[in-house]
Amino acid sequence: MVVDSPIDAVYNELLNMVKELSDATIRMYEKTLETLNSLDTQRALCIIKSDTEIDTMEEELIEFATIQIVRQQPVATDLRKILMIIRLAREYERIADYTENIAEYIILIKENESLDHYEKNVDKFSKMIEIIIEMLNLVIEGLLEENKAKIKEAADMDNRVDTFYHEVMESLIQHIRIVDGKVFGTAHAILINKYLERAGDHVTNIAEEMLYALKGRRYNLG
Amino acid sequence: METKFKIQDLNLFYGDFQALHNITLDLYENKVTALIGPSGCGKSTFLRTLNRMNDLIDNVKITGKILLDGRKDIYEKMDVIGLRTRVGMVFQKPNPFPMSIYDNVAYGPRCQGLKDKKKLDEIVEEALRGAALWDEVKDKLNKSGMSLSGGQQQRLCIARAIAMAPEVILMDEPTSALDPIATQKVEQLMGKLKEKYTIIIVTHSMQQAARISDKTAFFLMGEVIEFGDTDKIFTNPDKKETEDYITGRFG
Repeated sequence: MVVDSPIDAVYNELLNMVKELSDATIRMYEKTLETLNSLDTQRALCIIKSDTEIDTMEEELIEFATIQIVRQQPVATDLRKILMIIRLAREYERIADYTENIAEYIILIKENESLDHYEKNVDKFSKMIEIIIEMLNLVIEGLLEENKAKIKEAADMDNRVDTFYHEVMESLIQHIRIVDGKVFGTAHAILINKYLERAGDHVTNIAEEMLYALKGRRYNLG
Repeated sequence: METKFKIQDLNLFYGDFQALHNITLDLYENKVTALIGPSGCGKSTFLRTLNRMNDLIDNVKITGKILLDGRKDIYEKMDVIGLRTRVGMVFQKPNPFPMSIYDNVAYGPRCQGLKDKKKLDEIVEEALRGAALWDEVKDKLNKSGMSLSGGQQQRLCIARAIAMAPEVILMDEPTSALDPIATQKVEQLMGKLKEKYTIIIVTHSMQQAARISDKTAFFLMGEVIEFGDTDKIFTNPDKKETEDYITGRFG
């Protein structure tokens, strides 16, 4: 006789929490996309402020999951799924954190730098963010539907982020000028580029964690 | 890993009812093996085949082989008394004899003809130390075994088994009648005992199996569905039936 387990309800609650975390992370990237183009300092400050909201959501999720591990003592797939959700929470927190860093650099670029080289690459930054948002949407859908093909597809899209990353990096390095021992023009844009590249990698980590929990074996999608 | 018991195509029938089906399994020396499965799945029946306790039940028929140390078939080439000296057993409910703590432990060696008081004293102390009970009872060895707490009684039964210098200790739900502290003491004891003995335990507690065993065998309707490393079984079992049982969705 097959019966329901109380763990099913716990897992569903954790899925809801991780979906909210994913939605909040996606909103941060949407705001970043707008701010990249407008260079609006107020919006950038608003992104920096709202990162604490994600931190709180992550802490609440981990606390709830920890209590459930103590109470339900899950094993096998149940345990792998709960551990997966905890790891996902960390990854989302990291991915969202990059938007805070990017917002800080947007403020500095606007205040201190000639915008030439930044403006040359802002379209590519926007494209990278659009791909990251698409990856985040696809990977969470994949988890909710337990659709492994979708999860893998999300991870595969990281190649497109990486291609932009290399293009932008090459162009920025070519524009670095040293005058009187000072580096001009590109340092902050290089960091924005790097953070976006890392965000893509973290979505790949998310996909790997999901597949391990669902299928019971490790994948290297990076 | 040395094999202590090699079980080959074991079938057991109670009259017309077949309780065990084609069990083929190696049980390893100096390891704790947990037998898990729903009530009536055959795990206790299987445990009792290992020291021929089923011989006491009418109408039991057994086919297949159980080789001890990979050589001797325990049903063909060993006498039951000799076998049970080598393969001790501890039951679900502590069952000390209605006699002193000392006499409980000395009972087995005395039955084997040992009379030397000094030698008996040594065996009793060593067995009680082995069962992590010595410090609690050394000043009241002449008190009745029945006067001890449930957890102490169970450790006395373990001491009684150890006094026979067995190679294997079979345990049939040894902590199901004990409180959490007594359970913890017996579980810690098992971790120590496996250095000297091979331990096979039947348990209904998944958490206990996960805590104490090195190997786990999952029984269902008289068959071994899955046998392997406990770490693997409780994190990533191969069979869906195992997964359903250990996660509480079946049984």
